Amino acid sequence: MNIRKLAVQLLVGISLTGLSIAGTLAEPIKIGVIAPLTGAGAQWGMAAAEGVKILAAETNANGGLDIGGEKHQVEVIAYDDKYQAADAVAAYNRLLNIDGAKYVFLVASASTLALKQNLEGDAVLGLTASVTDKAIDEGSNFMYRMLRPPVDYMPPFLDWVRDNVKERRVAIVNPNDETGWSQAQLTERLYKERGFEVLGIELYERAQQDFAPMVTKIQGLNVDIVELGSTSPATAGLIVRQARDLGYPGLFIKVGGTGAEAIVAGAGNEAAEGLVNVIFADRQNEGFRNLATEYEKAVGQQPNEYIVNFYDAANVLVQAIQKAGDADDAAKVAAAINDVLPIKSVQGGDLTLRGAGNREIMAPVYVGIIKGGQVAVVAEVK
Amino acid sequence: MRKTYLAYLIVAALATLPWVVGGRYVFHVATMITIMIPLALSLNLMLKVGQLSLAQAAFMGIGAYGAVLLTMRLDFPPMLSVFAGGLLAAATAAICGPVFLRIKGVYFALLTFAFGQIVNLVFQEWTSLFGGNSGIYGIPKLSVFGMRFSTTQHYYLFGLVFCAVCYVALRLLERSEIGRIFQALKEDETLSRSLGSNALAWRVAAFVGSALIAGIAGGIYGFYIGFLSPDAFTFWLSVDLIVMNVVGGATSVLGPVLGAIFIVPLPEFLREARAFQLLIYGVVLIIFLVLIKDGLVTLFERRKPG
Repeated sequence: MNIRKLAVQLLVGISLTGLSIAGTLAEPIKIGVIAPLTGAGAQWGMAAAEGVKILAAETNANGGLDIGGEKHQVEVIAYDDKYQAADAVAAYNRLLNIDGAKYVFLVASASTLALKQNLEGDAVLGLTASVTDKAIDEGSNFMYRMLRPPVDYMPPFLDWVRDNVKERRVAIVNPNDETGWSQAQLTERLYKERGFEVLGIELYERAQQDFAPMVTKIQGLNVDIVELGSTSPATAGLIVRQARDLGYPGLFIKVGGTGAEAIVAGAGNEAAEGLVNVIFADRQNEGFRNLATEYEKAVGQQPNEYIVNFYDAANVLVQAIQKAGDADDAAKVAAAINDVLPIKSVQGGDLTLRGAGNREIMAPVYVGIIKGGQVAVVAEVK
Repeated sequence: MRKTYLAYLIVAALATLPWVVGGRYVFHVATMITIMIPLALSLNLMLKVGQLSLAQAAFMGIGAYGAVLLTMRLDFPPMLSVFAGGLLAAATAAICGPVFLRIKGVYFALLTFAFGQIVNLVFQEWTSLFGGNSGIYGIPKLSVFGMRFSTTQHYYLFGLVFCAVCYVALRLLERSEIGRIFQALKEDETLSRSLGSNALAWRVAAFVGSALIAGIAGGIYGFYIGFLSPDAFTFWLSVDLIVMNVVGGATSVLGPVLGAIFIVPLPEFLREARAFQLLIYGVVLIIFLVLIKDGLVTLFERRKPG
């Protein structure tokens, strides 16, 4: 009889415990990441996905997100878009339709522009790393940018160059495409406004590997700064190495985009010495090092600097969801982003909201100089 | 013959699957299949005359950009633009064809590869018209007689109709006198010419027809995805079309249809595998090519020579 009573009590106890757990552990909050996880852009995409996942894991380790007394776990689902608009649309439809995500992180401009209308129509909140000015316009209610765009950080970056570098004669080098043209136009204006003498603008084809003719021409201009613009880090490394081989002794500056490690890898420590580059993450910073350790555990490599921006943006999103008190209403969450900022970046410094339509989350940007094959942060770009 | 009907039955059943399963994601994958089937068929048409064209992605791009720009810049009705885009691609093929098709075999493949690269570069560099690498966005939805294609289902239905039209047209062509001329050109051009057929003219006709189909498919793609950039029309798309023809079987019009139905959703089935997605995709392709050498179509149709 006693055993029977005990069994009944146990069963009731187990059932009540189960009900109690079911009551407190609510539906997980699903966050999608659409990024190039394979191919040439995989370093960016992997850093993006892992940055969001690390933040989610930390949130879950602290018991999850508390919304109206209910604890929600945060689940991150990352899909590969292969830098293709059609793949991004497929991934988006799957996230929305199968996975039930209401929040999407985006890396590529093509994916951002392809999904822009969908986000607005479906009331899904998107956070993009795309710096194209077309990503956010007057009709954007559900799109935020998580990076400082070049137009915002380049003027103060070049102010630092003006105040700290004695050289003044510049040649600007850029790829011969739309990105390169607009970059060349912008940097020419900004350098001239700061009293630099722009003596030449050289454009090359993206697939080009032999830069000897271009470098020879630049040497003929007698410049002491070569601005590498939006040249990809790998190509920048090639240009630097070939220029040094041909005897160019001057300074290299790269204001359009990060990737100093890849430049060193391509050019070699000696050739890259002294190169001034904009960087999004201070690799010596404790916050970055912690992220890098987690990334290395998951992926087995060092992360791209992007990991900081995606981690920070995920932090903003998670806090906004909590502030909004409703994980299903992306409009409320979008409104709450305004309320939760400014907050601290994982690297220190404040994340603030400004820019196009007050929809750009401004993260710290630094001036980096390559010294002995390592990137040393010498200043923060205000 | 019965087996062919079985294939039709399977394809028809698969075509209704999105309504059975439901959901925008399934309709999206199905819509992409209906866009890729005509493209695979357009390559198949060129294979019928014994020429491997790597220009299909370029024709798709010409159709896509042409259709979208006609609507966005010149206010053409979207549906009219889709077909005008196809005609633009066909006109391009009609201009280039007489030059390109004097060359045969691997040289023709290389020439069409170069053509595709040039077209893609034009999309990239002529930014004032094509938007460059940033592409064209904010493309309106398709509409016909005032009815707006507001859901993925609308595009799927339209894609299905276009697939059916292309399939029937090419099937009739395959079984007609013209089909036999194409086959003769492919198998023994000298003999065919000695019997009076104008090899160049027939090849140009096939090239123009294939460009028309690819161009219309491009127009549907442009209005459906809502964003165009040169990335979507690279050489690799032409490679995908070759894979669809090989996996499905290039000897019959049914082959590329089966190939597209198999290949297009394959990466979606493998999405869960994430890190191993590309590896599994490659392994599955190798297994299929080894086990079903002449394509899926041989499961349903008697094997044809060549």
